[in-house]
Amino acid sequence: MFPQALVYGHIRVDDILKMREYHPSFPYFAREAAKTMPIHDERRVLDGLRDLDPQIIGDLYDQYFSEVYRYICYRISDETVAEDIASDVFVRLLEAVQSRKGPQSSIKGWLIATASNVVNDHLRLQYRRPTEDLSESLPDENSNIAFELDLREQNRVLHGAYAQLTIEQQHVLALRFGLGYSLEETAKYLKKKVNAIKALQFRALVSLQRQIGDENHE
Amino acid sequence: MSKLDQLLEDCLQAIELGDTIETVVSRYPEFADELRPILETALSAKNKNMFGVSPVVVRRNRAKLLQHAAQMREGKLKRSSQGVWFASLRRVVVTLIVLTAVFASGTSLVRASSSTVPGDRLYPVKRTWEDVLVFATFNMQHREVLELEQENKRLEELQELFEKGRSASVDFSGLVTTQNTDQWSVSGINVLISPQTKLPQDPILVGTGVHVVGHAQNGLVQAESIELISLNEVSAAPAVSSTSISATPAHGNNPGLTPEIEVTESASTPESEATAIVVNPGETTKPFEPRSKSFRGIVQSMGGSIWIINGVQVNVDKAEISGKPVIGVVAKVEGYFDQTGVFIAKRIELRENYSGSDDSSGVASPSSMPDSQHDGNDDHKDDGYDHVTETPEYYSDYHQQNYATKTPEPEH
Repeated sequence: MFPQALVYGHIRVDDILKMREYHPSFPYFAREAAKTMPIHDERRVLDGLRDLDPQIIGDLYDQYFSEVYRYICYRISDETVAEDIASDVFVRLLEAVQSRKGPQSSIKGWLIATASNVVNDHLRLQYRRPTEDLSESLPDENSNIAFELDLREQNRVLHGAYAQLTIEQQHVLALRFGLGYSLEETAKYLKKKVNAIKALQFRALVSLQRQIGDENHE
Repeated sequence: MSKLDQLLEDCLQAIELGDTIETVVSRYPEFADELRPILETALSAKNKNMFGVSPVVVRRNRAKLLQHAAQMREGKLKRSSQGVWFASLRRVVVTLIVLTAVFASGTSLVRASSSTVPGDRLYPVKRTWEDVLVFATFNMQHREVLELEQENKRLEELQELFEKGRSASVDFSGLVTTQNTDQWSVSGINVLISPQTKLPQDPILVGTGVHVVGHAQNGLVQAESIELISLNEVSAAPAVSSTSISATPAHGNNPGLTPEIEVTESASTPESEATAIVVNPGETTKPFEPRSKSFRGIVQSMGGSIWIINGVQVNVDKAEISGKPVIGVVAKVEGYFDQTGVFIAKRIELRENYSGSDDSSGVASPSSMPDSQHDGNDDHKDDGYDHVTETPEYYSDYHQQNYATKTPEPEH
């Protein structure tokens, strides 16, 4: 396995390439198989949610919490807030189903869309009342302190650049690179055509590259 | 731009399959400088915030969610138990409101419809209400009176329609009193028979109870269909035995709306003129044979020797009358029709109207009938009812409230 610092922090391309030399199984894009329920299961789950069946709720949570949490983490770079928002998304799902405003077909799609909306609201509030991020964890004494500080700085720069993107660009990068969705899946969740997603992805990466350059100059 | 979009996607897929950035950009040397930084940015974006989900976080939020679900379930149960209460209470309140509204609007609607005639928008309300009244009357005598009153009402409506010069689709029941080639008189209403008129298979004779559906216009009803409503009466020949055959009303829409007709013995008929009458258009004529009949109806007017009972002119000169002869009472009349359509009564039994209804409920009143004065002879016209608006004193008190005008005492 890889050192925690490498998994949890931002790593450079060179580091990745280096690691691939030693660990050929390390993926460039840690693509996760999309977990989507069959339609009949979705209906059964929706009925269970309507009845507030603890077993169904627990199973649903186990299936999708990780994905929702990672999406939110990708968008806001704050694990604590991500946890709160992810938890809130599932509570909203229960309430929506009770009031018959819940998902009609794809529960996962509904969860990601709701997570996106809550994150957007959060970012909007943060923009109005900017706060300074403080790192809660100290570098691991056993690890290479200089290396980890460097990773953190790069991560900060990257997130600063990412935050400058449009909401749509952030969303497409989070789905494509945060959750590893294919072009088709991303197009489905964003309700756009595949070619439009390709163009959006290209613009997002070019913009991110430019923003990183600007951040580094600052 | 679109080419670069596609190249970027191809490169990303190749990298995902295990190629390095340098390998993939070397395939597109003309775009290598452009693609390399974008691919490096893509790798950075991929590894941004690669936070793992701590099992503690998962357990903590799972427990939180299940606790929230339990609270919701509890609240739902409370709400549902309260909901049943409130729902039933609400249902009761809504029902009361609806009933009140229906009653208020219904009674005013019925009241508004009481003076309508065929062709008016509220006329169906009036007819429906009448049906409801009949349906809700369980006393057979009361029901009979009610039905007779309603039949009279149809005749009055027709008269009113003619007076106003309006036309409308109508239906009514009555006795055939005269028959000419294409024009009959049914309880005083002139009915025009055309080749298009649907007639029953059985012949229709004078005195037969019929239900007429047609179009009223210019003082006539152009008949579309005529149905027998006392089939037994038709089949009974003048020479039938002395046992009476009761004719049961058979029309579905107006059950019992016709006077009850009984055919009794014909041997006692005093007149036996052999004048031909037309039974049905196009059919052979038969010699006029007076047939003894009886029918029930409500006395609508009493003018000298001619009374109007359910639209039928009844000559009471030779009648033996029992009971109080007052307008509005139910009369059972025995006798026969003469050639002019006048019923020559031999015996009249009068009994009180049990319905207790007033003018508005449909009892024929003098005020609703034509005002022409009866001259005392037999020169009757089809479209006129002869009255004398005087009544014996001992009757005036009896029906003072219902009948403002007075009728003369019958000469018996």
